[in-house]
Amino acid sequence: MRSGVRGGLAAATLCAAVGSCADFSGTEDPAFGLPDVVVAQPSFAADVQPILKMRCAVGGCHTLASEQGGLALDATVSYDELVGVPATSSANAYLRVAPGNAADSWLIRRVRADPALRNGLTRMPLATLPLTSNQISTIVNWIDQGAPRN
Amino acid sequence: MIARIWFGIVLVLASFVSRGAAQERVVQRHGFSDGEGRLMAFYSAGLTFSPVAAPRERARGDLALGLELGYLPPLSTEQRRVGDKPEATNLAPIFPRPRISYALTDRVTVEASWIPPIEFFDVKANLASLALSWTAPASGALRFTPRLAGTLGSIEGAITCSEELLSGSIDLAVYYALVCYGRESRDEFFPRHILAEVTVGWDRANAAVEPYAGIGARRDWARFDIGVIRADGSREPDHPILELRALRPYGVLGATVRAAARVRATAEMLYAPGSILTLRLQGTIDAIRR
Repeated sequence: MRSGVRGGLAAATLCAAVGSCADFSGTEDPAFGLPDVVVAQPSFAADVQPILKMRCAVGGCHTLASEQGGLALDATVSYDELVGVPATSSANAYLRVAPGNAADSWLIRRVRADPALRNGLTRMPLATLPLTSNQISTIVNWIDQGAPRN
Repeated sequence: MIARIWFGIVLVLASFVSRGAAQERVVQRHGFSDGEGRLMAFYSAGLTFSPVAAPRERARGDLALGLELGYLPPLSTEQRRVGDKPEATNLAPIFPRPRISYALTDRVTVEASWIPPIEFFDVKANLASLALSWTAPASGALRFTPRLAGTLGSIEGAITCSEELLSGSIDLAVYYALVCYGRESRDEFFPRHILAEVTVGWDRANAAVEPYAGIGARRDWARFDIGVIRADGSREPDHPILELRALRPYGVLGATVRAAARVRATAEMLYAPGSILTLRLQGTIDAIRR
């Protein structure tokens, strides 16, 4: 084979190798498929639990099987494990959910950006995108309205 | 006595049943449109058993041996982030695939490949592929070759829980300590696909360069088994098995050059839209030529 042809093919191969790539971009959805809106008068079952299920009760975390930090957020147990229950990781003896007081509910403190609110502990959910501000506001509204089992 | 034996049998059977129930895993189906599906499709497409050789007429009994080198381009953090944290999928940038082809008749060729379970970079693959092609008589200067192929096997590596997490943010380190039990995972990716394609080559007698192009479709049932290992060494059953169900197109464009009397080299670009654009190289030697 002529050296020109061989050189041309080698150059084309090199260009092809350099041009190799993945043909897709990351599909990060900060709301994780949930409607990203603030619900003014949220229902626990319809508005809060779906957030907990999608963002917290995932494999290895707050499922019934793993129950990290002694907390499961599966729909069958989440209300009873949250409302009025002392937080195990809180040095200040916060309740996980203090009905009528979102600001002092450990659940809200752990998902907010300010490290001082959570005594420097890692923000939840761990190692992933945080809850959207709308999702946090929905949970805040539910707690401030007395955290009803609705 | 007989009652005791029966009681023992029932206890043994019950222990198997309960063990099976405890290890039951959730299978999550994913389409091509979601993050998990796209990531699986990327690697599945990268393993497509395309011809990596120009179609040609052969004599019955011809046997060729080849070694293919495929390139898997690295993915960005965003591309590897599916569900929660980025997955450590950039393990092996290239994969070597030994191939053998045998002409059953003058027109029908069977090709096979096996990647044995030897650790290469940080992965251990055990992958087999098989293809059957029929080379049509030359139509003018063109030669068409329909081909059916399939790939099956497993690729094992630390993808979900990798020590890389320890060099990331504090979140990732805590994730590694708690969710990963401070151990690397033994995840398994199971590529499972069949494909149908048609390749057309430019048929010229004794040509030094034989260009070719092809299009095809890949039916995928790939699975990813999240293998988080608990402190006692057992597999954490709390994580689902992810399964891709997709039908995806692809195309190839390549050229084979004759390097010596019995030796050929091929460079092929494979494009699977929405997944990968990549290069494969193959060196082939005619072990038996009639």
